Amino acid sequence: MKIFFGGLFWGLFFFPIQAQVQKFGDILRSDLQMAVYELDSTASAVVLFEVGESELNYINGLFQLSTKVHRRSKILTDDALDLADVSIGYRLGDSEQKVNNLKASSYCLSDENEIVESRLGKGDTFTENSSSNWAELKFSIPNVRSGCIIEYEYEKSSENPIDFPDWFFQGDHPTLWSEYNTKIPQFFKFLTVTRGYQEYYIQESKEYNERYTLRPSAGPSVRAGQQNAGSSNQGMQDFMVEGLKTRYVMKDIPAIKTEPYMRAKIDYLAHVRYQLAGVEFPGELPSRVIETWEEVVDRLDEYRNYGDRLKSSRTLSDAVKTATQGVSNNLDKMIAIYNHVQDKIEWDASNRLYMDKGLDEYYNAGIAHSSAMNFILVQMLREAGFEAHPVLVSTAANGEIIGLFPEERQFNSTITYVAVDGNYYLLDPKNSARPYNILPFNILGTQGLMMYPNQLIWLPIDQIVKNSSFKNVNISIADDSIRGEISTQLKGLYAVNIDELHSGEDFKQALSDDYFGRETRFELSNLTVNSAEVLDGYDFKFEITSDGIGGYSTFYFNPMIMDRLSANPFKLENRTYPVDYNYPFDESIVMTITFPENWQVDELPKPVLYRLPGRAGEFRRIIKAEENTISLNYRLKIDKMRFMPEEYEILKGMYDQMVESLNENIVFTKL
Amino acid sequence: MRYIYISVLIIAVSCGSPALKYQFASQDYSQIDKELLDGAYSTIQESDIELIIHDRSKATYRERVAITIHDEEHQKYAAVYEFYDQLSKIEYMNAQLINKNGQVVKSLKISDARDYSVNDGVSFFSDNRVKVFEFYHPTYPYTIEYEIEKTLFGTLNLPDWYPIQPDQSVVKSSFTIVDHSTGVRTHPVKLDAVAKVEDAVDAKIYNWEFNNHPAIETEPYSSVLENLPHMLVAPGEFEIEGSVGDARSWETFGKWYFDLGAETRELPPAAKAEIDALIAGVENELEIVSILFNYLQEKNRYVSIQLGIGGWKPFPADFVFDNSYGDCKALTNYMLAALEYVGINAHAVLINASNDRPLIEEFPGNQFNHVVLRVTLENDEEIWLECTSKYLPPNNLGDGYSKKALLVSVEGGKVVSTPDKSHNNNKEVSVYTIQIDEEGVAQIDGELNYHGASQTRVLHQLLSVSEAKKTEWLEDILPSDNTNIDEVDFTGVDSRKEISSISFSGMLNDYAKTSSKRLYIPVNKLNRTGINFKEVAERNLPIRFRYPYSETDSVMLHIPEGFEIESKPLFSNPSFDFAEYNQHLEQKGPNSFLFTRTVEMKEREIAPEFYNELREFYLDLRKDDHKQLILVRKGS
Repeated sequence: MKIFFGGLFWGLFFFPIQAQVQKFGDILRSDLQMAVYELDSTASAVVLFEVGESELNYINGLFQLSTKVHRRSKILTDDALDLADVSIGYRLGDSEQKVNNLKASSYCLSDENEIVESRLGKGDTFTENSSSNWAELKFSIPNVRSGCIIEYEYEKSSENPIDFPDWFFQGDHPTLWSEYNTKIPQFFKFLTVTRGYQEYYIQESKEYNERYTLRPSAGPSVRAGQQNAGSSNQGMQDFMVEGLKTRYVMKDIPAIKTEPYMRAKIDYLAHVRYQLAGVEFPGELPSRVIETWEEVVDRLDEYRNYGDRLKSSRTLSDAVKTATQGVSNNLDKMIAIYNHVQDKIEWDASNRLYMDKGLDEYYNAGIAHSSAMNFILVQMLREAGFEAHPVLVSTAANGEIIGLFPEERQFNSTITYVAVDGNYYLLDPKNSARPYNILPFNILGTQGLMMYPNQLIWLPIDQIVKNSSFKNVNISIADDSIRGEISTQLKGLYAVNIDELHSGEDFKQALSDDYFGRETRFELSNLTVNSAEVLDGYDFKFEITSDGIGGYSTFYFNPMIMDRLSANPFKLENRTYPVDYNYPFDESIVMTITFPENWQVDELPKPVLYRLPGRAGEFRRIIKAEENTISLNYRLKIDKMRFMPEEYEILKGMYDQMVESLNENIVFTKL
Repeated sequence: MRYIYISVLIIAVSCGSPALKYQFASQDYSQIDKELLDGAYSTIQESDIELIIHDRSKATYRERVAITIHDEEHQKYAAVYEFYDQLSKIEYMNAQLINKNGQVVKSLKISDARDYSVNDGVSFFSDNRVKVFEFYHPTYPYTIEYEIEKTLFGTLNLPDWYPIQPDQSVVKSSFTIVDHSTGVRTHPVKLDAVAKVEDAVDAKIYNWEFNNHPAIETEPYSSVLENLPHMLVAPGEFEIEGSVGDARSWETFGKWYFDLGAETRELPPAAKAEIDALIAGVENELEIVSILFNYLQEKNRYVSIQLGIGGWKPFPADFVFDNSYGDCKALTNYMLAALEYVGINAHAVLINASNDRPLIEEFPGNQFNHVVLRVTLENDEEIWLECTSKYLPPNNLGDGYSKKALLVSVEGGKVVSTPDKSHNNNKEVSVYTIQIDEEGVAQIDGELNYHGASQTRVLHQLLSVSEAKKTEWLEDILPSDNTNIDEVDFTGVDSRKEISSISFSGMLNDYAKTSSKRLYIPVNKLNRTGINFKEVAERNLPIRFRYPYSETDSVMLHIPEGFEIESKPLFSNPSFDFAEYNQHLEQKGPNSFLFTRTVEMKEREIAPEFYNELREFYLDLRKDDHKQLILVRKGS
């Protein structure tokens, strides 16, 4: 450690004070007069500024974490009045956190145009113990109406530096100024990562140094509640502590407006995360708090409720014998074991990492969570002589993996790696409708961490089988009815979905709703399902009657009886975060329509082809007529999972085109 | 590596295996009569509920239940919830899950229960808590056995007995009340069970049974709760946090509530001064009520507070004045205080805000969860005020129409009726002029008027948001993905008026579909019904709408030059006793048409035997709502 001599003290306030941030109670009349937020006139409230300051300071022989938060918001309309109901959560029990120095006020303009402040009374807070280790300090700021400003500040303290808070610059309301200042002595090594799709306005760091009196003999222990409270003043020594102050500012941050095709919201919000990596005190060996990914894998490998659960077992080796009886080919063997796990064990619909029971117990109970099911699969594959390993994954709802933070808590499930004849496969037997080569959509496109000894292996979670749906449709129109036959071929997740959705006795009803539910002109008079079972598709026949077929000289017919998009799912003018499809897909229809001899086609919908740049996808719909037959070709294809904000407009344009084209009629006239 | 494990490792919960104290009659839940399985997602195999009233301030409540879950739909009943607060204590709570093979898979005792504060989404401050056992088992059927004992400190709210839930059958259920001479009262609703009464040394014991009952199925557009057999329970004399009341008559019950709030209505001098200033020079009573009500609504906001007796006792008027917030009781009480101060006659009226809990008039007791205000002017005119809403005008009670309710005054309680509203009061009237060009683009001028219950919706949706959001709302209700509003006036959406109106003009860019030869003009694109009744084999419960309503639309439609009519719509226009509609398209000039549409749903409740007629009605309406006027280009 470098010790500074003398009182070299860099300025306490080395950052220029910004006009955007004011002291508590310094209210700008112009903010009170604001009626509409210009950058987003729909806003119900605007965060005028929010400032967080997290510092680790040496107090009473211990580095203590204190976080001050000061937030000021302008209420523009009544639907944001509940911003005045504030809850501040904190931990109870071991290494309890504390909330102090709470101040809260509202400011309104009176009829006489004076600023009237109403303060939260001292006793007007309420503490609610949400659980045995979590409490919330709650208060309602008095005298709040739309047009008023509300403001509060508080300090939350902790003796555990691992609590160093993350900071969210973005939220449900637009924010003019969001600032996070941190002060971290060099003893503490933090990993930080910024996420989301907003730019920093200011991001700067400066060194600082401060004089402290330390007890060099003991060193400042950072363990909560384990301070060396020795009263001896011997060996008291002045130390200069150097460290880093960092300032992050974002400005004019839009609110996140939700739309379809999103993953976990936290993956889009602009925020900075902190993770304590290690501690290095003078005269002490450096201690690492966080591990490397290799260490995470090694430790998990030995952990009682994870890697240690993989043990050879009579039950599972017997199960392998049963499952693979008479199967010689390696791939078939692997599939047989996969199917066996699917059949024998029911997934309890939860994604979890740790196993509090042995694999035999899960196997015998016939019910298991995601990781336990995969562990059984891994162990059975090993018993059968395959090389197999667990692979740690995170589902879409759990959020993306941040590679910089080697933390197992980022994962919430496990899948299976297996090598067969020089190829490798990723398997997940959770859902009984899913064949071995199809993975759940909520992990596609992510990275998995393989539990592989002595080597760090990240695997891209991709699926070999394409997701496609093909419909072959034959329609024959007569003077009194429309008859049709539809046969489908479904691959990948389409096959899984149809199996899940339509595996009930109400399959006919489901088909009828899917295909004809939105059409008001037709009445479905008959629907017969031909396929005995729905596996890679289904076939059915239908008959419909229409008011308008017989009696009129003109007949209007929209051939898109199915897959007709009636509204664009994308409504935002611009989207500040990416569009995330669950998976790439390919949907197509080939249709043939025949109509009576004495009819003729008066009008056909226009052909259309819309291609996304970079072969990212396309929409096409071509219609041709020849004598008494019309042929139609439809295709919608999305080839990549993520579209960045700058690609939004063209993607949205494609859906506009679809809405227009898919609602066009064929017009027949009768001779 | 010293403290990382605190936050990084999740510690698995281990389960103990306590035996239940109570011995259920049968340990075999696999045999259920076929008729009890019909339509049932779950079955109450055995339920034994006991309520022991020690005296007016203390009671013991015991539940022992074995319930078999047949279907995922009723997995919610596999969760055992018990609520408690400062006025109740859970003494014990045990449960076990038995799989279909009769094996006990999981057992839990009170220390395994999760304990939450109740976040009901409404209450911000609340001391209500809940202990929960959540069971999950993927293989049906399975059975949960549980037992709970709770002590109630106070007898104002005694638990009612609901032996059956929707889509649930019952094998055996019994309810026992042991009353140590407090004069507890019961009232059966749709329940045939007759009480067995027994006189013990120091108590009277009542017992009811409800056995072998098939499932009562839930149906859409129905109010299944009020059709479930159940038993209301109410105290005679009761006590809650030292406050003593008598529920045996509406008069005494109302008196208790009145007295509870009596000392909370003293306005601070500053409030009196504000009120004096507001009504200075105003003589007319009605006008004074409007001014004060408007003042209440503008100044205050609703924050729900449910703490101890605070669930009943209003926060005092000076608290509301100082903080500008309160719950329904506090806000109503504050308005009452203001009216009392200016000498206008007004009374709090207790009501039940749920539409499926009509007041049982012959059974006094706490059947309420909300309070409104009734003002009586000197000329005997009545004005109803919904003080909890920031927007509802005088005489608009939101959903609170046509209900029996309890008016409280210094003389006590008295049952009164809230105003009736027919379909003519809940009315939307829209007038449009539409000019369509060759591209299918519509230039539209419109005026929308909302009365009664439809106004309630519009006020709440529009008055709380920005002007830009209001415009977005209008764009959303207009039937185009691509709308440009040129001018719009929302000033007619006003919480002081009985009718809210919006006028606007703009372009709907894809109003009509075009092709090279044709123009497809929907005659009614602006107000299409969304109601669709499914075909069912049998309907048991009456069909219930939130309110009866009527709609009137008229559209003056101008079509472009150069087209001739190829096809004109014909409408079915059916008429029933409970509902009718009429659509009509009339040519007014060479290029202009007048389209009119009226829909009247006259009843709030329709008997089940008319289900098919009602279904037909909406099918026809839906079809007619989508009809088109088809034009073809001249000479093509």
